[in-house]
Amino acid sequence: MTPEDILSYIQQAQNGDRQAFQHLVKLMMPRLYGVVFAMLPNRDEVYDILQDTFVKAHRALPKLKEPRAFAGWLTRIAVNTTKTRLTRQREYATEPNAFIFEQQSVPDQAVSRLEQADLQALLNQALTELSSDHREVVALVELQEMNCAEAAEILGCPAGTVRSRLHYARKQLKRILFPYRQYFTQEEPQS
Amino acid sequence: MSESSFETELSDQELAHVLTQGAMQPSAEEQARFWQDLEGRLEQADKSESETVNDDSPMRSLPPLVEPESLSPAQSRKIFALRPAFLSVAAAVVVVLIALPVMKQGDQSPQTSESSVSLDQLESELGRVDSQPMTLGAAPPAEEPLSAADQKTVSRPAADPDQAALKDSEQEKQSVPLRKSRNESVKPSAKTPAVKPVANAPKNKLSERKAEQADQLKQSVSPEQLAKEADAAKKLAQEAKAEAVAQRWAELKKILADLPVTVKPLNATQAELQVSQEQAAALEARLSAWSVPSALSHKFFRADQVTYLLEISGRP
Repeated sequence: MTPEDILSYIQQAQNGDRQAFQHLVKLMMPRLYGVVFAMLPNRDEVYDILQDTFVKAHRALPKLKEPRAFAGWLTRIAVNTTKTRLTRQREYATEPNAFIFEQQSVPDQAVSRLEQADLQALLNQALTELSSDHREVVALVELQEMNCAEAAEILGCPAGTVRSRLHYARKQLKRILFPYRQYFTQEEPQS
Repeated sequence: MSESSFETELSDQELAHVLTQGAMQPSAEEQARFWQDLEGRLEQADKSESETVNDDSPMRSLPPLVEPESLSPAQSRKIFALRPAFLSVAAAVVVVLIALPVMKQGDQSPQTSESSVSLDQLESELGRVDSQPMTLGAAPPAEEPLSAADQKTVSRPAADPDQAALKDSEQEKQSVPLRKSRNESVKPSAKTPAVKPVANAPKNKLSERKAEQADQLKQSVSPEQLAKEADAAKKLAQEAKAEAVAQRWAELKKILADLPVTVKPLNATQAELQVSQEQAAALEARLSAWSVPSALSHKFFRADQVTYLLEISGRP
């Protein structure tokens, strides 16, 4: 899908074209999935948040003045929806298990090379050890491939703060993941 | 890749590899049903939006107990800032409405005989005189002042012994029919000064005076006090509601104690109930028995579980 196609879909969706909106959902959903999951690693929650995000986006899309800013705008909605969900869960959690991260086992030592699913589990485990602020910047900059200024705009903080958080988040991730280094640095077995 | 024994963290490339390969992706199944679920929700949202527009019941004007998610904190603050002002104005109007009959009675009391009097009151007083076997004579000329003695003998007109003399009065022929005209100035006899009449006092003047008195009364109750009272009443109502809701939550906890249901409170009155498909019927049955079927809205199915949105109100 070319950028022109995307722009055209956005404009059509702004005029109420449901099919154009469906194209945008199919395009953006996988991209946002990783971002939201990094902030709240629970598949059910992520799915629900993304549904909410697209419902909100559909409602507000006619008011979007700059269609080229669609991706950033949608990401902002997703991030804010996730943050609201996290805040509510913390405020109203009555039992410890009301706020559950998806439990995923760290790969066992016998595996010589990690499958992608294991790598995901490993990264998720590491992300849960970061603070929510750090998870946000990792999600936006590392996974959504935004620059610090864009992430700062979405998070509503200075770009310097984003850079600083990113630095510490990366450092922490590197340390957390270091013990598992051998599993993902091994050479691909020759077939 | 070279590895130093002093290394305690991954290199940038290694981290980039993990981040690239480990980024979470939706499963094929999730992607497949995502649009279907979303379309359902969009239609539901459209429907509820149109219902909201059409719903003009008076209950719509009541402020919500819980802040809607869509309101920003700034908007919420604005709304809550307007509430005391609205309540104080409403309370002032109520006070004035309650006070009006009291003021009317005050007008009829002898203490206010120095002030103006309403025509209705005057007529009722004269009616009592009328019930006696006598005829009310025309009043003396307006410029004729009341003597001090007359003012002292103010009493109920029927008990006035001097009224008998009115029968013999030469002014009897000039007597004015009582209900001839409301706008006509009615001057009672100097002998029956139950209240001191105000000469030529038109009714609109009386209304103005009433309005003035109402304004004075309104001003005498400070807006701050009214706002305080309104706030206190609101607080009491909210506390009562919160207590009722808390009681309902406790009931719910008891009812669902032995069912494998995940309860995720969303806010003070809403919660998400997640249950496996096998247990969904049992959950619905229990909640129906608990008399909240209307408060339970089905949200969506997942592969192995059902999620419900439960709204708890204070009333069973």
